[in-house]
Amino acid sequence: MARQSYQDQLAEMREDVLFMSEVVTDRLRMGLEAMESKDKELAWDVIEGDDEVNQLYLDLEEDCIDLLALQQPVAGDLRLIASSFKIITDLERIGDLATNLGDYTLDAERDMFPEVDIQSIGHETIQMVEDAMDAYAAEDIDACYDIADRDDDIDELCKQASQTIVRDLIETEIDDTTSEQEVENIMADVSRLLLTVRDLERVGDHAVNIAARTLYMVEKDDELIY
Amino acid sequence: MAVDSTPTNDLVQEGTGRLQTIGYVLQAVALLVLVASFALLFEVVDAQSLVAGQSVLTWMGLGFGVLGLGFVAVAGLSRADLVESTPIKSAGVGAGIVYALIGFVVVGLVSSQTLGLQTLWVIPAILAGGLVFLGAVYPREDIGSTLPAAGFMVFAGTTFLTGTIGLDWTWQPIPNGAVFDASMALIVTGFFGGLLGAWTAARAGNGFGSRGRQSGAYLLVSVNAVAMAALLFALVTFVAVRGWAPMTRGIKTGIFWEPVYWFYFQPIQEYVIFQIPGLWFYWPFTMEGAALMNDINGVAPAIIGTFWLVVGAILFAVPLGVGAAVFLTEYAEQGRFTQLVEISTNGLWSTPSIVYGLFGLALLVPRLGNSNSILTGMLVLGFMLLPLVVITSRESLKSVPDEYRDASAALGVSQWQTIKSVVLPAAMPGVITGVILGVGRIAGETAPILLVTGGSPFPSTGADIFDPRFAFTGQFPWVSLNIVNVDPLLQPSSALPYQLYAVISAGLSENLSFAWGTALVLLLVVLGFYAIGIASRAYFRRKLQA
Amino acid sequence: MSETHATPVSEQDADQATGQTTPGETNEQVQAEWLEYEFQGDAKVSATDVNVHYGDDHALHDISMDIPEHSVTALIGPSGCGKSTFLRCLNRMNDRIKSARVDGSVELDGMEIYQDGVNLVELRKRVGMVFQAPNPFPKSIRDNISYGPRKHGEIETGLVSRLLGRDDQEQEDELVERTLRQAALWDEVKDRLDDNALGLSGGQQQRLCIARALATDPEVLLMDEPASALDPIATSKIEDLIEELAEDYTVIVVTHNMQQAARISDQTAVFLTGGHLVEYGDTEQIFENPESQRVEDYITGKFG
Repeated sequence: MARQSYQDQLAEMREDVLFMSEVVTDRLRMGLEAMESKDKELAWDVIEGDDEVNQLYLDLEEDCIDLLALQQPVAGDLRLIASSFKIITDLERIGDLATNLGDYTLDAERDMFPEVDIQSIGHETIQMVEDAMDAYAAEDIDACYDIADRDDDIDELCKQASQTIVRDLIETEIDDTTSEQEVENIMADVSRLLLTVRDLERVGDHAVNIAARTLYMVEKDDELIY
Repeated sequence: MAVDSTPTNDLVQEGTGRLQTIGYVLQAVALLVLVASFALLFEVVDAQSLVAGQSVLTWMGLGFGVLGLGFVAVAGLSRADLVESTPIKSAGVGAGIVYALIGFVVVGLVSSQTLGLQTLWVIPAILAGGLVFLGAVYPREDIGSTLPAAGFMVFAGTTFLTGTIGLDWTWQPIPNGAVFDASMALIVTGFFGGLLGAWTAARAGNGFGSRGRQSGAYLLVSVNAVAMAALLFALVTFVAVRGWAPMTRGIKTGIFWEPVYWFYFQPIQEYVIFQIPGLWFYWPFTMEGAALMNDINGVAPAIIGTFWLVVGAILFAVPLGVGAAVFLTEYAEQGRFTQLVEISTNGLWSTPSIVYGLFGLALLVPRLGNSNSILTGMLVLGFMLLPLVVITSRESLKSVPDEYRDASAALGVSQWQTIKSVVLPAAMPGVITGVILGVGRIAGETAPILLVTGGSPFPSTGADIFDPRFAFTGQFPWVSLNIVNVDPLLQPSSALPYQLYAVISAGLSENLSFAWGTALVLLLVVLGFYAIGIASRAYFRRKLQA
Repeated sequence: MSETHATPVSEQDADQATGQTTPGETNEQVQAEWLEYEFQGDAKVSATDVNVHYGDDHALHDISMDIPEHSVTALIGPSGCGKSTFLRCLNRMNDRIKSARVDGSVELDGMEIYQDGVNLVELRKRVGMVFQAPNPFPKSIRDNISYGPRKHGEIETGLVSRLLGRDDQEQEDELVERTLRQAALWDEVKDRLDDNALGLSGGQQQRLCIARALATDPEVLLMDEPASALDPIATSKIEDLIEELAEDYTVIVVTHNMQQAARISDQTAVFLTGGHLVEYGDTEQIFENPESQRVEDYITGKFG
């Protein structure tokens, strides 16, 4: 095959994108784990690990620019590079959201609302990200559509979770016995949880973006983008 | 003698200056010997002529001696690494053969003449050749290529200086055959020895190896070129020197007064005449024919004859030839027909001129007035010029790049228009070159002119062909305009080569100077045609170039 | 006309247009819809089932293409795939090659150019050509440009014409200035119109050749790798020129430089080894998402 070193560079870039996605999903898992077990050390690891993710992003961005400038890619190769460019942006955002989970863990004092199953929502979204990256690696367009559908379910779950949290808040008895401090703690916990739910929903959205870009890459079809 | 390994070569070599100087000096000496041998050949000097107090023989002998010693010195210096040289392992088989041949000849001569061995001279000669071959090839190049040469030089030098071949020496190898004297010996030895010495010195001076070989080859090529140029120059000078005096005899110039306006001035009852000066120029050799009443006979009729013959030949051959070339190159399919034409054209060009003359005599003369005439001469010379014009025009047309034809076709221009406007103008310089070369040949051809044009060998007037005359006549249309007289075309005429032949046949003892004068005029006329041709070619070239 | 125009392609052509494959290429059949190209208006030049043989060598197989006017069409493909051969069919320059045989139909404005009685002079006036290596005549710049019109009898100058009152000197001057301006060369040579054209640089010579081709007032301009012999700056000048010319002329460019084709053309036709047309469509589509895998492999540089 001609242009062997160019082909190798393209393959290496794909590998790096997949590697970045693995790092990011690991971080998400760690964040969820830290939340579950209130492990502050783990939370710190997650927060500090963001640097690694950002560095990966910058390196990959540079690789894409280099390929564009030096190799004049066209057609499928061009779409691969353009899509990968956008996908790493989404991955970096996911990394930031994982860091948020770590922040919440550090601030949390107690687990207030066990009715809301943060963990299962979280793992579901992690699965979506992984499936989206699998679709990218395998260039599987059916999987892309599938992920878009699953996001609808996630959105529903998150909406319900938010409603549950707010209802519980409303139903919490606040009387003269509760101290100022306690009220404040309750408010803080509630807002943290709402933010957590919102962040997990965003992870799902990013996973859909990844699937949308993958579809564009394979078929030049922008149906799923927005 | 052991074969030494090649010394390593540095990128920058120091100390080559010394070796190069020695080389140049030796080259100069050798070339002087060579020039001396040419001088002897052309009888500019004799073996015994004195130059700065010594005879030429002595000088040449000294030259050989210097060369021999010089070569030995170079060999020694190089071998002892006192100078930077880059000799390779062996002087090579080529040099070996050259030296072996020299050894063979020298030993052969010595053994057969001096030692008196009759047919047995072959044996020592072969032995010598073999030994010299080994001596040249076996050792390292800096020894193998210099010592054999040195040997020859020393031998030649001592032979001349010791008087073994002295000023009185003669040799008659075959009884009643040619006799060789010292000059001849000097010429032969000087020629070969000079060339050999210069070649070896060039190689040695540049450190042997590939640089040396290159210098040696360059020297040989340069000497060849210079010798050629010198030869041509010598020929021209030879003719010019001998012909100048007779040609320019009796040239007179002067001023005369030409009246331009006059009127009758009543008061003094005289005509008043206004005059302007004019220059008159009288050159008898080119303006007069040969007549009894002339002080100085000239070749004017021959010049006129040659001129008209060449002009007529060009007018006949060039359009025909260029047209044929255009057809063959642009229109005809390259196949058997064109190949056949090419072969016959080449054949025609190689045909001896006397055959053309015979053809003219047998075929054209009876049909064109049954006597010799300029017209027949024009036609015959035209036939001779034709093949060359066809050949060179074809080459010239073929060398016009196809891109021009493609571009012209893409613009929708027809083939003939393309040829006329682009291809032919681009081919012009080549065509003119062919015409120049051809004219050079035909202007000097004697045989056909002798057969078909030649009339009286010493005519007094030339053919009066270009004679524009305007006159009033008594009948309609009341004017007559005559530009060209046709009658003289059908009359015999002289031409320069024919004139020269006639002079020589009449006897060279009285007419030698006249002959030389004619020869010089012929040379100048041909050069004149060349000049016109080169000027027009330069004009066309300038138009085609940036 | 407002009707859309689609290249008619027979199923038979498509099936046979597999062509030779180079090692690694798939044995993919050309599909008819890849060769279809729709556009508004009539086709300026239309080729139908063009086959060219050089002796026994079948150089072009069943080429059918319609070329819209006032646009730049690029013909790309690897060396020896027949794109120059096809270009030369459009102004019948293949007639000059003795072993060439052209079958099929080529129409200019709906008129068949391969029928008997076609005036080649007129055809080549209307379809001009610029060659790969600049080839100006060894004449002055002015004479180069006025060469075509002069030989067609449209311009006469000289003593005789002046005596007859028919001198066209003004027309010639106007023609020279107009075409040199069109070729973006006027400013550089306006002071030396009588200098020999061979004294110009390569890029200038090529622009002169373009001006010379424009002097016959063509409608279609064929360009066979016009910038391949030039340095990058001269190349980009020629490319700018081509884009401008497309406003007034129909330009068809053969190039082996794919980036150049991508830069300058409106539609691109891809020929692959063996003289087959494999895909023809909008340049954007060919370079962003070609339909044929072989075309994709060729333009990404993997094969071909």
